[in-house]
Amino acid sequence: MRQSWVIGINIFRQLLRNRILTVLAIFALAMGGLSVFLGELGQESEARLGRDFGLLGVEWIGYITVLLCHVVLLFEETELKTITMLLVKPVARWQYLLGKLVGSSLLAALNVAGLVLVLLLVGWARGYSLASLPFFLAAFFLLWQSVVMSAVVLLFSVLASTVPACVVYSTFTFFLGHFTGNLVEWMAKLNEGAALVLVRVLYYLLPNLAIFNLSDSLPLGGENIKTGIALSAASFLWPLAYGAIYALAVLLLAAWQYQRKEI
Amino acid sequence: MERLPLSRLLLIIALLLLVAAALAGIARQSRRDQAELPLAFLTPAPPKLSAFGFTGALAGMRRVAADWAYIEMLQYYGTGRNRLDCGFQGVIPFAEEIFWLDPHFRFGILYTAAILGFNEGHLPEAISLLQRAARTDPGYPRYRLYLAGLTYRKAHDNPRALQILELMVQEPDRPEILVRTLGNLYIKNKDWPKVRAYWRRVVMTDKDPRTLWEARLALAQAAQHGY
Repeated sequence: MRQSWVIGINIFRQLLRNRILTVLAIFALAMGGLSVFLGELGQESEARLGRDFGLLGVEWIGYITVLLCHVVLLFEETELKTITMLLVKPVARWQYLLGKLVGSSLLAALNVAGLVLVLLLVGWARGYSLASLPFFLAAFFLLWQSVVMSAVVLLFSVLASTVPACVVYSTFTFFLGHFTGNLVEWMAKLNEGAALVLVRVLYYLLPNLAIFNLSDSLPLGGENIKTGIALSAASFLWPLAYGAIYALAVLLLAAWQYQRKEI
Repeated sequence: MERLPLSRLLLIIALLLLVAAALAGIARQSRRDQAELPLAFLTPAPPKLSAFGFTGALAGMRRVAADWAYIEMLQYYGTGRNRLDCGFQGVIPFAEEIFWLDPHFRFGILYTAAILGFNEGHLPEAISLLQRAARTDPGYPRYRLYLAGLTYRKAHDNPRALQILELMVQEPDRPEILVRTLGNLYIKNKDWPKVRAYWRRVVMTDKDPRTLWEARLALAQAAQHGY
């Protein structure tokens, strides 16, 4: 475990040196600017729109961060063969994969925290406050979603071995992960037997990203309260537990594949 | 990890995925029992639904999609030539889309109902929207207040409609358009002392640039009539 942590910290440093953070910081600022622009268009609903589009930016920044991390690392491993220097040391391959997950998650946490800070400052400058427990919780759950997606991208980086294939598979899974819950319900309504079975299989295999989206279910700022009932603590813990177990399963699958892979 | 037999490893992965699926089910249920927007197709979709609204609903981003529809509605209503479209009739499908995507977007619903009912005379649509909103969100009293104002308006009981509108304007986070609507109704009724008193109060308390601009015009109009 300690070895994975050390690898993770070094990967985090390596990613910072790759200037990946600069690109992401520019993207985060663009997302912050977009939320200001859309908030301005929303006139009197500026606070709500700034918050909703800001959280959408947090979600995308988290995903793009982990995707870029693994893509950059995959390129360095396959083209520059940097991995050979590490694997001649007494480090197991699964420890290296776990280290990659730790490193990318740390960078995602840094980016998400940065964007949340930008959103808070923008809100303060525009005369509304986003600093509330539901907002921070929603951002934290989106970060947790990024960790789960990091495990998924890691699996695809092992399976795909080329950068474009890894990007395509991961992004497809990211979008499908949002859709499956509604697709199951839609197919059930349409009474499509075979399609329903297929969608159900996908629903259980793919990450269920909808449950990390608290902005549609939490009273963010008092506007979207459904009969004023507060959520119980358990309803926050279940998605966290789901994320951890799912990421572990995917990580095991990735480790198994990586073990068999010729480098 | 290296010494673990393949069959056992695959069994562990399958078990973990099963546990994850069960946890996802519990997570969704625990939240749905308490507070969550309904899934996309639990309620019938409106007749006109934009591509963004449809995608947002499917992707579990209903709040963002409702915000987008609200911005589109504001853009439509802010374009003067759309008045030729039977008095901004295009606001109606936007109102339906916003309500379907996020039935708890209180400000958006009140705003569209105010535009439809008080400004553009689409009273049945505005009343129907508010009735459905009040049923979905019974703990929010402002829907009933707006409903009362529009019902009096429909019955041509203008003094009572004005009384209700005066109450609505006093709410701290009312749509700004109501402030202008009430002032313009005083002008329409040629009640110049009230026009002067009302718009002067607006100038002192309001910060919205468009409302302040209209206030200056109204005060100049009142001055022309000796007030």
